[in-house]
Amino acid sequence: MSAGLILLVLFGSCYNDREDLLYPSITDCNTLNAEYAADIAPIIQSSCAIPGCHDAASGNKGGPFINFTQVKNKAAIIKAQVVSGAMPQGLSLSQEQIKLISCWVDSGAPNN
Amino acid sequence: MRLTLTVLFTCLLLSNYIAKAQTDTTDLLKGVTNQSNEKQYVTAAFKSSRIINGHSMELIGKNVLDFRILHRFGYVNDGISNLFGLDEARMRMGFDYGITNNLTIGIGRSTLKKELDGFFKWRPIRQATGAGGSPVSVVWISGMTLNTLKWAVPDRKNYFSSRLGYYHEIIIGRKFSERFSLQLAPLLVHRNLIDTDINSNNTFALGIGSRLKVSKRMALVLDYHPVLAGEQFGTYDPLSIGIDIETGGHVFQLHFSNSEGMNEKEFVTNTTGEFWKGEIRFGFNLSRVFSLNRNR
Repeated sequence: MSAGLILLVLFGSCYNDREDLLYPSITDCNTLNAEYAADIAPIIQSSCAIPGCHDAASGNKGGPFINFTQVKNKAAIIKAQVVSGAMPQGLSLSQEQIKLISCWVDSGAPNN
Repeated sequence: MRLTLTVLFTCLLLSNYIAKAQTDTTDLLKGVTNQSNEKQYVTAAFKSSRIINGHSMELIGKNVLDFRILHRFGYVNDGISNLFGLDEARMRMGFDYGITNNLTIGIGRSTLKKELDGFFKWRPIRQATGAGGSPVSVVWISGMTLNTLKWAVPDRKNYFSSRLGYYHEIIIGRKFSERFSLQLAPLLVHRNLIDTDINSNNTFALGIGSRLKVSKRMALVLDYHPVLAGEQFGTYDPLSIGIDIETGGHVFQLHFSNSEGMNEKEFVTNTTGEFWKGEIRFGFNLSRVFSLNRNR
């Protein structure tokens, strides 16, 4: 009885969820054309490339996000981190901003 | 790196066999003097129920409560400005309780992600000498983790299940001699929610743990979990090296590790330090056992 209860608790609520699929509203890019210069760069500058985070002096794992190449090289992990809300630390992006980043990465992270 | 460590372990294992073969004559003599050949359980393969991060093949005794305090500090290579990592600390406080000599349950809470965890640990087969004794111990562990942080994105429908993670582990271990013990532990970690397709809900690792006793009260320990499948983006295999110091009732475990997390889900899926680049943390485990037997 108790062993059955333990097994139920351990295996009973197992899901294989992914945030980009669980919340399609932020990853539905049908009507959105995200542009690096107009949409992405301003978000990066105001929320990521700031002192103590990803500015030019950044010593953390992500490194600096000062120019397009640096951002493009980290595009997949940037999308994962903002979709999950893990980044930016101490700040929060709007759903619209998260969607812009997600869609820009999905379109191949172009320099448009 | 993974290959080097695997070769290292194989060599350790073989050297032990060779040493054992060389002392076989004395073992035979022992057999002559000890006529009884009764089944006797092998004890103290490891000094604690954890090697460093991962579970060991040892369980605590019936009606024994083990109060465990674990600390992990910042990166040693942060330098003097951060006092080599000591300026920042993560902590896990936990209680393990022995329901029987072969069944332990435990709970804990880590400051990292304000995470609760609970597990049961059952030993169906125990290493023993003498007639009918098993050459190895087999231990099954299953546990859950619960992240209690505020929702990262509060303005959407968040699900309780997204906070949960699970791990299931089978330990096969053997105390080869008074000085040397080794265990292998296939381990599956499942997280209900991941971010995107760069990661995986399921991560499979092989726990490798070893202890080499260097004196009556001290031992060198090694705890390595190479991730074999479902490795998370930007993470590395958790590797920890340390010493165990036993002082009667207490076990101090001092170690260096590239991992910050102190439960299986966290150290298998979220070890971001690259050990060989110096991204290692000093840490210690402190264990104090209390016997709750009423008739003592």
